[in-house]
Amino acid sequence: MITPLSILIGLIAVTAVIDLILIYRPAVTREQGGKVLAFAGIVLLPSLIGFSALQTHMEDSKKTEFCLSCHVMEKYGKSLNVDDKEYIPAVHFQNHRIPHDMACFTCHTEYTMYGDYAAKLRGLRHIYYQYIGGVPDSIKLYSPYNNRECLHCHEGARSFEEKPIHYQTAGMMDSIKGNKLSCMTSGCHDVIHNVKDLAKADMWKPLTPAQRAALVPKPDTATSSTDTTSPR
Amino acid sequence: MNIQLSKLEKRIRFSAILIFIALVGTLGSLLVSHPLSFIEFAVVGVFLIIIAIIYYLIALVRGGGSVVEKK
Repeated sequence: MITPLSILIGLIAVTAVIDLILIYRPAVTREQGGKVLAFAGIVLLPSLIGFSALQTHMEDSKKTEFCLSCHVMEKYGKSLNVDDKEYIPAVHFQNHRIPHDMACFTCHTEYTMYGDYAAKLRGLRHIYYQYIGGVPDSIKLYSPYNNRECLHCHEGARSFEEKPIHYQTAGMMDSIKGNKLSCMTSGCHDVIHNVKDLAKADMWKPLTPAQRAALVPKPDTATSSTDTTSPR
Repeated sequence: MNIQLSKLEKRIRFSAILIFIALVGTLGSLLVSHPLSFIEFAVVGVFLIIIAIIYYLIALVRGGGSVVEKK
């Protein structure tokens, strides 16, 4: 199957062959065709590969497994499987309200023009802390969680817009949408990852095929016999 | 006939070597999904590609393409 990654690898292979020609036979650049080859192998194709690889790395860094590859993030990944509806990330993850393969990135990015790049620049700082600076004892967000990230999906949704509790006081909905009343720290949806409580929490495990098969109602013998004898 | 390389060709070859190393680094970084592979890409791939392009362009500007042939 042709994927963007396989195309990129093919491009790298072609460029490598051109560069090998330039390394072992640099005299080819005396001809017009050789000059074009040198320009393609040194400037054009490597630039294209650089931009494509950057894009590939950006997409790769959005993956859940990428975020959880750092040891310090393991317990946050584990909190996605807590069997408790109070845990906001767990409910979103288990019910596919966020993409499984981009679970962290979906909520922990700013839905602004350069939000993706801002998140990735913060990621570089995380790498520094992970390998050089030392991971702090408690991990905190850089800034209070903005309702904008919740409203990116929930705004306009019936389950959000028509919930009476969101109109409990005058102007409450406007305050939520204006990020004046936090969804999380106002005491309404305040159970987030809560990694300190993970040891006590029950964990959800997806059904095995055998468990799923057991859920299927067994055919009633009386019904099946009626079906076979029913007139056509 | 032994053809000696001009300065320009030597510089082009050096740029091609840098690009080749950058390509190997970039390929390695693409095959592993880990935060450090991005660092590998940035430090080995991007850095060497930029250096090689600049070196190649400087070589073109400076010239030195006269060929010496030894018989």
